[in-house]
Amino acid sequence: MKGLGKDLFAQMRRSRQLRQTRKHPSPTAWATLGERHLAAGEADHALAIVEEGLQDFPTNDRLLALRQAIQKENLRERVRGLRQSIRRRPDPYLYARLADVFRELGELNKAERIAEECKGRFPGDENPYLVIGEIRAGRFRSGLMARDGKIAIDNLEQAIQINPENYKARLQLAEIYAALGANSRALPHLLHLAEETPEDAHLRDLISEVGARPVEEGDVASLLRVAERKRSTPYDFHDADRGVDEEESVAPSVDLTVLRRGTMALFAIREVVALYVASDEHGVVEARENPQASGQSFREAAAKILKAAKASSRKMDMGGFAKGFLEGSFGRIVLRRTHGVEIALLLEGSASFGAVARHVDAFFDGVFGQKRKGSRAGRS
Amino acid sequence: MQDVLDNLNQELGVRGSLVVTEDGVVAAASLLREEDRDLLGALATDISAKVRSALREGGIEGHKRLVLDAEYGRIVLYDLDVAALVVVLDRTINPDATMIEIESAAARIRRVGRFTASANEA
Repeated sequence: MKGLGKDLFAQMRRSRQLRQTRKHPSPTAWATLGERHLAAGEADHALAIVEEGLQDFPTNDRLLALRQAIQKENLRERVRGLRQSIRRRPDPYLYARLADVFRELGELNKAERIAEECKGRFPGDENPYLVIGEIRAGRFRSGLMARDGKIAIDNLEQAIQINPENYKARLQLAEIYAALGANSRALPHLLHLAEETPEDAHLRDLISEVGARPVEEGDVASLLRVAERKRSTPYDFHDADRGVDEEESVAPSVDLTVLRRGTMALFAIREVVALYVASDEHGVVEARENPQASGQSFREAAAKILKAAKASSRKMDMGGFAKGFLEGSFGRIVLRRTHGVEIALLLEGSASFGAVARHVDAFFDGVFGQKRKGSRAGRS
Repeated sequence: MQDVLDNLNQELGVRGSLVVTEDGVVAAASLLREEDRDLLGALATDISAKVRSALREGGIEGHKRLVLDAEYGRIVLYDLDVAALVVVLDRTINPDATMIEIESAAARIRRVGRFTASANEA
Protein backbone atom coordinates (compact mmCIF):
# COMPACT_ATOMS: atom_id res chain seq x y z
CA MET A 1 0.00 0.00 0.00
CA LYS A 2 2.88 2.23 0.95
CA GLY A 3 4.58 1.47 -2.43
CA LEU A 4 1.35 2.18 -4.29
CA GLY A 5 1.08 5.57 -2.59
CA LYS A 6 4.69 6.34 -3.50
CA ASP A 7 4.03 5.44 -7.16
CA LEU A 8 0.95 7.62 -7.16
CA PHE A 9 2.90 10.59 -5.79
CA ALA A 10 5.65 10.06 -8.35
CA GLN A 11 3.06 9.99 -11.14
CA MET A 12 1.45 13.15 -9.85
CA ARG A 13 4.84 14.82 -9.68
CA ARG A 14 5.61 13.86 -13.29
CA SER A 15 2.19 15.15 -14.42
CA ARG A 16 2.93 18.46 -12.74
CA GLN A 17 6.35 18.57 -14.40
CA LEU A 18 4.72 17.89 -17.78
CA ARG A 19 2.39 20.84 -17.32
CA GLN A 20 5.33 23.06 -16.34
CA THR A 21 7.39 21.87 -19.32
CA ARG A 22 4.55 22.64 -21.72
CA LYS A 23 4.27 26.07 -20.15
CA HIS A 24 8.04 26.79 -20.24
CA PRO A 25 9.47 24.44 -22.90
CA SER A 26 13.21 23.89 -23.25
CA PRO A 27 15.22 20.94 -24.59
CA THR A 28 16.61 20.23 -21.11
CA ALA A 29 13.15 20.24 -19.52
CA TRP A 30 11.75 17.82 -22.12
CA ALA A 31 14.78 15.55 -21.95
CA THR A 32 14.82 15.49 -18.14
CA LEU A 33 11.14 14.59 -18.03
CA GLY A 34 11.62 11.89 -20.67
CA GLU A 35 14.54 10.44 -18.72
CA ARG A 36 12.45 10.35 -15.53
CA HIS A 37 9.70 8.39 -17.26
CA LEU A 38 12.27 6.05 -18.74
CA ALA A 39 13.87 5.49 -15.34
CA ALA A 40 10.40 4.70 -13.97
CA GLY A 41 10.06 1.96 -16.60
CA GLU A 42 7.52 3.89 -18.65
CA ALA A 43 9.29 3.67 -22.00
CA ASP A 44 6.18 4.36 -24.11
CA HIS A 45 5.35 7.43 -22.05
CA ALA A 46 8.99 8.59 -22.25
CA LEU A 47 8.90 8.26 -26.04
CA ALA A 48 5.68 10.30 -26.25
CA ILE A 49 7.29 13.04 -24.12
CA VAL A 50 10.45 13.11 -26.25
CA GLU A 51 8.40 13.23 -29.47
CA GLU A 52 6.48 16.18 -28.07
CA GLY A 53 9.77 17.87 -27.17
CA LEU A 54 11.11 17.24 -30.66
CA GLN A 55 8.13 19.07 -32.13
CA ASP A 56 9.43 22.20 -30.35
CA PHE A 57 13.16 21.45 -30.81
CA PRO A 58 13.46 19.09 -33.80
CA THR A 59 17.26 19.23 -34.08
CA ASN A 60 18.19 19.06 -30.42
CA ASP A 61 20.96 16.46 -29.97
CA ARG A 62 19.99 15.43 -26.46
CA LEU A 63 16.37 14.79 -27.40
CA LEU A 64 17.36 12.93 -30.56
CA ALA A 65 19.81 10.76 -28.62
CA LEU A 66 17.17 10.05 -25.98
CA ARG A 67 14.63 9.03 -28.62
CA GLN A 68 17.19 6.64 -30.09
CA ALA A 69 17.96 5.20 -26.64
CA ILE A 70 14.25 4.65 -25.91
CA GLN A 71 13.68 3.03 -29.29
CA LYS A 72 16.62 0.73 -28.62
CA GLU A 73 15.23 -0.10 -25.19
CA ASN A 74 11.89 -0.97 -26.80
CA LEU A 75 13.66 -3.22 -29.29
CA ARG A 76 15.54 -4.91 -26.45
CA GLU A 77 12.22 -5.54 -24.78
CA ARG A 78 11.05 -7.19 -27.99
CA VAL A 79 14.22 -9.29 -28.01
CA ARG A 80 13.44 -10.56 -24.52
CA GLY A 81 9.87 -11.40 -25.52
CA LEU A 82 10.90 -13.20 -28.69
CA ARG A 83 13.61 -15.17 -26.89
CA GLN A 84 11.05 -16.35 -24.36
CA SER A 85 8.65 -17.36 -27.14
CA ILE A 86 11.42 -19.26 -28.94
CA ARG A 87 12.33 -21.08 -25.74
CA ARG A 88 8.70 -22.08 -25.24
CA ARG A 89 8.03 -23.06 -28.86
CA PRO A 90 10.82 -22.73 -31.44
CA ASP A 91 9.56 -21.51 -34.78
CA PRO A 92 11.41 -20.26 -37.90
CA TYR A 93 9.10 -17.22 -38.10
CA LEU A 94 10.05 -16.16 -34.54
CA TYR A 95 13.73 -16.66 -35.35
CA ALA A 96 13.36 -14.46 -38.44
CA ARG A 97 11.68 -11.73 -36.38
CA LEU A 98 14.37 -11.91 -33.71
CA ALA A 99 17.11 -11.65 -36.35
CA ASP A 100 15.32 -8.62 -37.83
CA VAL A 101 15.20 -6.89 -34.44
CA PHE A 102 18.94 -7.41 -34.00
CA ARG A 103 19.47 -5.96 -37.45
CA GLU A 104 17.39 -2.92 -36.47
CA LEU A 105 19.61 -2.57 -33.41
CA GLY A 106 22.65 -2.71 -35.68
CA GLU A 107 23.87 -5.90 -33.97
CA LEU A 108 24.55 -7.85 -37.12
CA ASN A 109 26.72 -10.50 -35.48
CA LYS A 110 23.89 -11.42 -33.14
CA ALA A 111 21.40 -11.46 -36.02
CA GLU A 112 23.67 -13.83 -37.87
CA ARG A 113 24.11 -16.06 -34.83
CA ILE A 114 20.33 -16.29 -34.42
CA ALA A 115 20.01 -17.22 -38.10
CA GLU A 116 22.71 -19.88 -37.68
CA GLU A 117 20.79 -21.30 -34.71
CA CYS A 118 17.64 -21.37 -36.84
CA LYS A 119 19.50 -23.13 -39.65
CA GLY A 120 20.53 -25.82 -37.18
CA ARG A 121 16.96 -26.36 -36.02
CA PHE A 122 15.10 -25.77 -39.27
CA PRO A 123 17.47 -26.57 -42.14
CA GLY A 124 14.58 -26.71 -44.61
CA ASP A 125 13.57 -23.07 -44.04
CA GLU A 126 15.01 -20.53 -46.47
CA ASN A 127 14.77 -17.45 -44.21
CA PRO A 128 17.90 -17.92 -42.09
CA TYR A 129 19.93 -18.36 -45.28
CA LEU A 130 18.41 -15.14 -46.62
CA VAL A 131 19.19 -13.27 -43.39
CA ILE A 132 22.84 -14.34 -43.44
CA GLY A 133 23.04 -13.77 -47.19
CA GLU A 134 21.72 -10.21 -46.86
CA ILE A 135 23.98 -9.34 -43.95
CA ARG A 136 27.07 -10.68 -45.69
CA ALA A 137 26.10 -9.10 -49.00
CA GLY A 138 25.94 -5.73 -47.21
CA ARG A 139 29.29 -6.35 -45.59
CA PHE A 140 30.79 -7.39 -48.91
CA ARG A 141 29.61 -4.20 -50.59
CA SER A 142 31.12 -1.98 -47.93
CA GLY A 143 34.26 -3.95 -47.11
CA LEU A 144 34.85 -6.08 -50.22
CA MET A 145 36.19 -8.96 -48.15
CA ALA A 146 36.25 -12.18 -50.18
CA ARG A 147 35.07 -14.19 -47.18
CA ASP A 148 31.95 -12.02 -46.81
CA GLY A 149 31.20 -12.41 -50.51
CA LYS A 150 31.57 -16.17 -50.36
CA ILE A 151 29.32 -16.53 -47.31
CA ALA A 152 26.73 -14.26 -48.95
CA ILE A 153 26.76 -16.25 -52.18
CA ASP A 154 26.63 -19.66 -50.45
CA ASN A 155 23.68 -18.65 -48.30
CA LEU A 156 21.73 -16.92 -51.06
CA GLU A 157 22.26 -19.93 -53.35
CA GLN A 158 20.97 -22.17 -50.56
CA ALA A 159 17.91 -19.96 -50.00
CA ILE A 160 17.06 -20.21 -53.71
CA GLN A 161 17.61 -23.94 -53.73
CA ILE A 162 15.07 -24.29 -50.92
CA ASN A 163 12.65 -21.83 -52.51
CA PRO A 164 13.33 -21.01 -56.20
CA GLU A 165 10.68 -18.27 -56.02
CA ASN A 166 12.49 -16.27 -53.33
CA TYR A 167 12.76 -13.01 -55.26
CA LYS A 168 14.88 -11.16 -52.68
CA ALA A 169 17.52 -13.86 -52.47
CA ARG A 170 17.73 -14.26 -56.25
CA LEU A 171 18.00 -10.51 -56.88
CA GLN A 172 20.76 -10.04 -54.30
CA LEU A 173 22.65 -13.01 -55.69
CA ALA A 174 22.33 -11.76 -59.27
CA GLU A 175 23.58 -8.32 -58.21
CA ILE A 176 26.65 -9.73 -56.49
CA TYR A 177 27.47 -11.90 -59.52
CA ALA A 178 26.90 -8.95 -61.87
CA ALA A 179 29.16 -6.64 -59.82
CA LEU A 180 31.88 -9.29 -59.71
CA GLY A 181 31.63 -9.75 -63.46
CA ALA A 182 30.46 -13.37 -63.06
CA ASN A 183 28.17 -12.65 -66.01
CA SER A 184 27.34 -16.23 -66.98
CA ARG A 185 26.12 -16.82 -63.42
CA ALA A 186 24.21 -13.54 -63.07
CA LEU A 187 22.27 -13.79 -66.33
CA PRO A 188 20.14 -16.93 -65.62
CA HIS A 189 19.02 -15.43 -62.30
CA LEU A 190 18.17 -12.11 -63.94
CA LEU A 191 16.16 -13.83 -66.68
CA HIS A 192 14.30 -15.88 -64.07
CA LEU A 193 13.45 -12.67 -62.20
CA ALA A 194 12.32 -10.97 -65.42
CA GLU A 195 9.79 -13.74 -66.02
CA GLU A 196 8.19 -12.82 -62.69
CA THR A 197 8.37 -9.05 -63.12
CA PRO A 198 8.52 -8.24 -66.86
CA GLU A 199 7.70 -4.56 -66.18
CA ASP A 200 10.75 -3.95 -63.98
CA ALA A 201 12.83 -1.37 -65.89
CA HIS A 202 15.83 -1.69 -63.54
CA LEU A 203 15.92 -5.41 -64.22
CA ARG A 204 15.64 -4.94 -67.99
CA ASP A 205 18.59 -2.50 -67.93
CA LEU A 206 20.66 -4.94 -65.92
CA ILE A 207 19.85 -7.83 -68.28
CA SER A 208 20.89 -5.87 -71.37
CA GLU A 209 24.07 -4.68 -69.67
CA VAL A 210 25.14 -8.07 -68.30
CA GLY A 211 24.11 -9.82 -71.54
CA ALA A 212 26.47 -7.58 -73.51
CA ARG A 213 29.47 -8.35 -71.32
CA PRO A 214 32.00 -11.10 -72.03
CA VAL A 215 31.86 -14.43 -70.23
CA GLU A 216 34.06 -14.25 -67.15
CA GLU A 217 37.41 -15.90 -66.77
CA GLY A 218 38.01 -17.82 -63.55
CA ASP A 219 35.68 -19.08 -60.88
CA VAL A 220 33.74 -17.03 -58.33
CA ALA A 221 36.35 -17.56 -55.61
CA SER A 222 39.07 -16.03 -57.77
CA LEU A 223 36.79 -13.10 -58.74
CA LEU A 224 36.14 -12.47 -55.04
CA ARG A 225 39.86 -12.56 -54.27
CA VAL A 226 40.56 -10.06 -57.07
CA ALA A 227 37.85 -7.72 -55.73
CA GLU A 228 39.36 -7.91 -52.24
CA ARG A 229 42.88 -7.27 -53.53
CA LYS A 230 41.88 -4.38 -55.79
CA ARG A 231 39.38 -3.07 -53.24
CA SER A 232 36.81 -2.62 -55.98
CA THR A 233 34.49 -4.73 -58.10
CA PRO A 234 34.82 -4.59 -61.91
CA TYR A 235 31.22 -3.36 -62.20
CA ASP A 236 29.09 -1.19 -59.91
CA PHE A 237 26.39 -2.65 -57.73
CA HIS A 238 23.12 -1.87 -59.42
CA ASP A 239 20.46 -1.82 -56.74
CA ALA A 240 18.65 1.44 -56.20
CA ASP A 241 18.54 1.50 -52.41
CA ARG A 242 22.20 1.51 -51.59
CA GLY A 243 23.38 3.35 -48.49
CA VAL A 244 26.16 5.88 -48.15
CA ASP A 245 28.70 3.24 -47.21
CA GLU A 246 28.10 1.27 -50.36
CA GLU A 247 28.32 4.39 -52.48
CA GLU A 248 31.83 4.77 -51.16
CA SER A 249 32.89 1.16 -51.71
CA VAL A 250 35.63 2.38 -54.02
CA ALA A 251 38.20 4.24 -51.96
CA PRO A 252 38.54 7.92 -52.88
CA SER A 253 41.75 9.01 -54.53
CA VAL A 254 44.13 10.81 -52.18
CA ASP A 255 46.09 13.93 -53.09
CA LEU A 256 49.74 13.26 -52.18
CA THR A 257 50.43 16.92 -51.38
CA VAL A 258 47.51 17.02 -48.94
CA LEU A 259 48.68 13.73 -47.45
CA ARG A 260 52.23 15.06 -46.94
CA ARG A 261 50.95 18.29 -45.42
CA GLY A 262 48.78 16.32 -42.98
CA THR A 263 51.74 14.09 -42.14
CA MET A 264 53.88 17.11 -41.24
CA ALA A 265 51.12 18.35 -38.95
CA LEU A 266 51.00 14.95 -37.24
CA PHE A 267 54.75 14.90 -36.71
CA ALA A 268 54.58 18.37 -35.17
CA ILE A 269 52.46 17.00 -32.30
CA ARG A 270 54.57 17.17 -29.16
CA GLU A 271 53.69 13.67 -27.96
CA VAL A 272 54.62 11.95 -31.25
CA VAL A 273 58.08 10.36 -31.10
CA ALA A 274 57.96 8.45 -34.39
CA LEU A 275 55.54 8.28 -37.28
CA TYR A 276 54.73 6.09 -40.26
CA VAL A 277 52.21 7.05 -42.96
CA ALA A 278 51.41 4.98 -46.04
CA SER A 279 48.59 4.64 -48.55
CA ASP A 280 47.53 1.86 -50.88
CA GLU A 281 47.76 4.36 -53.72
CA HIS A 282 51.13 5.99 -52.98
CA GLY A 283 53.03 3.45 -50.84
CA VAL A 284 55.07 4.77 -47.89
CA VAL A 285 54.48 8.51 -47.67
CA GLU A 286 56.60 9.31 -44.64
CA ALA A 287 58.50 7.56 -41.86
CA ARG A 288 60.20 9.71 -39.25
CA GLU A 289 61.69 9.23 -35.88
CA ASN A 290 62.97 11.65 -33.27
CA PRO A 291 65.64 12.82 -32.73
CA GLN A 292 67.74 11.48 -35.61
CA ALA A 293 64.85 11.53 -38.11
CA SER A 294 66.08 8.30 -39.70
CA GLY A 295 62.77 6.55 -39.21
CA GLN A 296 64.11 3.23 -40.39
CA SER A 297 63.49 1.07 -37.32
CA PHE A 298 59.97 2.31 -36.58
CA ARG A 299 59.11 2.25 -40.28
CA GLU A 300 59.76 -1.51 -40.49
CA ALA A 301 57.99 -2.26 -37.23
CA ALA A 302 54.94 -0.12 -38.05
CA ALA A 303 54.57 -1.62 -41.53
CA LYS A 304 54.71 -5.16 -40.14
CA ILE A 305 52.30 -4.45 -37.28
CA LEU A 306 49.78 -2.84 -39.64
CA LYS A 307 50.09 -5.77 -42.02
CA ALA A 308 49.50 -8.25 -39.18
CA ALA A 309 46.53 -6.23 -37.91
CA LYS A 310 44.91 -6.17 -41.36
CA ALA A 311 45.44 -9.89 -41.90
CA SER A 312 44.12 -10.79 -38.44
CA SER A 313 40.98 -8.67 -38.77
CA ARG A 314 40.22 -10.38 -42.05
CA LYS A 315 40.97 -13.89 -40.83
CA MET A 316 39.01 -13.37 -37.63
CA ASP A 317 36.02 -12.39 -39.77
CA MET A 318 35.82 -8.92 -38.24
CA GLY A 319 35.85 -7.00 -41.54
CA GLY A 320 38.44 -4.39 -42.48
CA PHE A 321 40.94 -3.22 -39.87
CA ALA A 322 40.09 0.29 -38.69
CA LYS A 323 42.23 1.15 -35.71
CA GLY A 324 44.38 -0.27 -32.98
CA PHE A 325 46.35 0.60 -29.89
CA LEU A 326 49.50 -0.98 -28.62
CA GLU A 327 50.71 -0.36 -25.10
CA GLY A 328 53.72 -1.37 -23.09
CA SER A 329 56.70 -0.20 -21.10
CA PHE A 330 57.98 1.58 -24.23
CA GLY A 331 54.93 3.86 -24.40
CA ARG A 332 52.01 3.67 -26.80
CA ILE A 333 51.48 3.14 -30.50
CA VAL A 334 48.34 4.42 -32.23
CA LEU A 335 47.29 2.67 -35.46
CA ARG A 336 44.61 3.90 -37.85
CA ARG A 337 43.48 2.88 -41.32
CA THR A 338 40.78 4.64 -43.34
CA HIS A 339 40.07 4.38 -47.07
CA GLY A 340 43.45 2.80 -47.78
CA VAL A 341 45.48 5.37 -45.83
CA GLU A 342 47.23 4.04 -42.75
CA ILE A 343 49.21 5.65 -39.97
CA ALA A 344 51.20 4.48 -36.96
CA LEU A 345 52.28 6.94 -34.29
CA LEU A 346 54.69 6.10 -31.50
CA LEU A 347 53.89 8.30 -28.51
CA GLU A 348 56.24 9.33 -25.75
CA GLY A 349 56.01 7.26 -22.59
CA SER A 350 53.56 9.32 -20.57
CA ALA A 351 51.30 10.49 -23.42
CA SER A 352 47.73 9.20 -23.53
CA PHE A 353 45.82 8.12 -26.64
CA GLY A 354 43.38 10.94 -25.98
CA ALA A 355 46.17 13.49 -26.39
CA VAL A 356 46.50 12.72 -30.10
CA ALA A 357 42.99 11.46 -30.96
CA ARG A 358 41.68 14.80 -32.22
CA HIS A 359 44.86 15.39 -34.27
CA VAL A 360 44.42 12.00 -35.91
CA ASP A 361 40.77 12.77 -36.68
CA ALA A 362 41.83 16.13 -38.09
CA PHE A 363 44.44 14.40 -40.25
CA PHE A 364 41.86 12.10 -41.85
CA ASP A 365 39.33 14.91 -42.19
CA GLY A 366 41.99 16.94 -43.97
CA VAL A 367 42.99 14.08 -46.25
CA PHE A 368 39.47 13.03 -47.22
CA GLY A 369 37.59 16.29 -46.62
CA GLN A 370 33.84 15.93 -46.78
CA LYS A 371 34.02 12.51 -48.42
CA ARG A 372 34.63 10.95 -45.03
CA LYS A 373 31.73 12.65 -43.26
CA GLY A 374 28.97 10.22 -42.40
CA SER A 375 30.89 7.22 -43.63
CA ARG A 376 32.25 4.46 -41.46
CA ALA A 377 35.77 5.38 -40.46
CA GLY A 378 36.63 1.73 -40.55
CA ARG A 379 36.36 1.27 -44.31
CA SER A 380 39.65 -0.26 -45.16
CA MET B 1 41.00 -19.95 -14.77
CA GLN B 2 37.70 -20.91 -16.37
CA ASP B 3 35.84 -19.05 -13.61
CA VAL B 4 37.85 -15.92 -14.29
CA LEU B 5 36.91 -16.06 -17.98
CA ASP B 6 33.26 -16.85 -17.23
CA ASN B 7 33.10 -13.87 -14.87
CA LEU B 8 34.80 -11.62 -17.41
CA ASN B 9 32.18 -12.62 -19.98
CA GLN B 10 29.49 -11.22 -17.69
CA GLU B 11 30.91 -7.72 -18.22
CA LEU B 12 29.10 -5.36 -20.56
CA GLY B 13 30.19 -5.80 -24.15
CA VAL B 14 32.38 -8.88 -23.62
CA ARG B 15 31.44 -11.54 -26.18
CA GLY B 16 34.04 -14.13 -25.33
CA SER B 17 37.49 -14.71 -23.94
CA LEU B 18 40.25 -17.27 -23.97
CA VAL B 19 43.76 -17.86 -22.73
CA VAL B 20 46.22 -19.12 -25.29
CA THR B 21 49.85 -20.08 -24.73
CA GLU B 22 52.55 -18.71 -27.02
CA ASP B 23 52.71 -22.01 -28.89
CA GLY B 24 49.01 -21.78 -29.74
CA VAL B 25 47.49 -24.11 -27.15
CA VAL B 26 44.15 -22.87 -25.79
CA ALA B 27 44.46 -23.24 -22.01
CA ALA B 28 40.89 -22.11 -21.25
CA ALA B 29 38.06 -20.55 -23.21
CA SER B 30 34.66 -19.09 -22.65
CA LEU B 31 33.12 -18.39 -26.04
CA LEU B 32 29.61 -18.21 -27.41
CA ARG B 33 30.59 -20.49 -30.24
CA GLU B 34 32.85 -23.26 -29.06
CA GLU B 35 33.90 -23.94 -32.65
CA ASP B 36 35.73 -20.57 -32.70
CA ARG B 37 38.09 -21.75 -29.96
CA ASP B 38 40.97 -23.19 -32.00
CA LEU B 39 40.75 -20.67 -34.83
CA LEU B 40 40.77 -17.69 -32.47
CA GLY B 41 43.57 -19.23 -30.44
CA ALA B 42 45.71 -19.79 -33.52
CA LEU B 43 45.07 -16.33 -34.95
CA ALA B 44 45.70 -14.61 -31.62
CA THR B 45 49.00 -16.46 -31.23
CA ASP B 46 49.95 -15.54 -34.77
CA ILE B 47 49.32 -11.82 -34.40
CA SER B 48 50.95 -11.71 -30.94
CA ALA B 49 54.09 -13.32 -32.33
CA LYS B 50 54.16 -11.03 -35.36
CA VAL B 51 53.67 -7.87 -33.30
CA ARG B 52 56.30 -8.92 -30.76
CA SER B 53 58.79 -9.74 -33.51
CA ALA B 54 58.09 -6.47 -35.38
CA LEU B 55 58.57 -4.47 -32.20
CA ARG B 56 61.77 -6.29 -31.34
CA GLU B 57 63.16 -5.56 -34.80
CA GLY B 58 62.28 -1.92 -34.28
CA GLY B 59 64.15 -1.93 -30.99
CA ILE B 60 60.92 -1.67 -28.99
CA GLU B 61 60.43 -4.13 -26.13
CA GLY B 62 57.82 -4.83 -23.51
CA HIS B 63 54.41 -4.69 -25.18
CA LYS B 64 51.56 -5.52 -22.85
CA ARG B 65 48.31 -4.84 -24.61
CA LEU B 66 47.04 -4.72 -28.15
CA VAL B 67 43.54 -3.53 -29.07
CA LEU B 68 42.36 -4.22 -32.62
CA ASP B 69 39.28 -2.49 -33.88
CA ALA B 70 37.74 -3.61 -37.16
CA GLU B 71 34.49 -2.86 -38.97
CA TYR B 72 32.53 -5.64 -37.27
CA GLY B 73 34.46 -6.56 -34.17
CA ARG B 74 37.06 -5.66 -31.62
CA ILE B 75 39.60 -7.81 -29.81
CA VAL B 76 42.00 -7.17 -26.97
CA LEU B 77 45.17 -9.21 -26.54
CA TYR B 78 46.69 -8.92 -23.11
CA ASP B 79 50.21 -10.25 -22.78
CA LEU B 80 50.77 -12.74 -19.95
CA ASP B 81 54.48 -13.33 -20.78
CA VAL B 82 54.22 -16.92 -22.04
CA ALA B 83 50.52 -16.74 -22.83
CA ALA B 84 47.92 -14.17 -23.83
CA LEU B 85 44.44 -13.31 -22.67
CA VAL B 86 42.26 -12.75 -25.72
CA VAL B 87 38.98 -10.89 -25.24
CA VAL B 88 36.39 -10.45 -27.98
CA LEU B 89 34.43 -7.24 -27.46
CA ASP B 90 31.28 -5.83 -28.93
CA ARG B 91 32.14 -3.15 -31.49
CA THR B 92 29.62 -0.71 -30.04
CA ILE B 93 30.91 -0.41 -26.47
CA ASN B 94 33.55 1.93 -25.11
CA PRO B 95 36.55 -0.36 -24.49
CA ASP B 96 37.98 1.91 -21.78
CA ALA B 97 35.11 0.98 -19.49
CA THR B 98 35.87 -2.74 -19.86
CA MET B 99 39.66 -2.46 -19.81
CA ILE B 100 39.88 -2.34 -16.02
CA GLU B 101 37.97 -5.62 -15.85
CA ILE B 102 40.24 -7.15 -18.47
CA GLU B 103 43.35 -6.05 -16.58
CA SER B 104 41.93 -7.42 -13.37
CA ALA B 105 41.13 -10.74 -15.09
CA ALA B 106 44.66 -10.84 -16.52
CA ALA B 107 46.11 -10.35 -13.03
CA ARG B 108 43.95 -13.16 -11.63
CA ILE B 109 44.92 -15.49 -14.49
CA ARG B 110 48.59 -14.78 -13.85
CA ARG B 111 48.09 -15.80 -10.23
CA VAL B 112 46.00 -18.88 -11.03
CA GLY B 113 47.87 -20.05 -14.09
CA ARG B 114 51.32 -18.86 -13.01
CA PHE B 115 51.89 -17.62 -16.54
CA THR B 116 55.33 -16.15 -16.01
CA ALA B 117 58.53 -16.85 -17.81
CA SER B 118 60.23 -18.04 -14.62
CA ALA B 119 57.43 -20.48 -13.83
CA ASN B 120 57.63 -21.83 -17.33
CA GLU B 121 61.37 -22.36 -17.06
CA ALA B 122 60.93 -24.06 -13.70
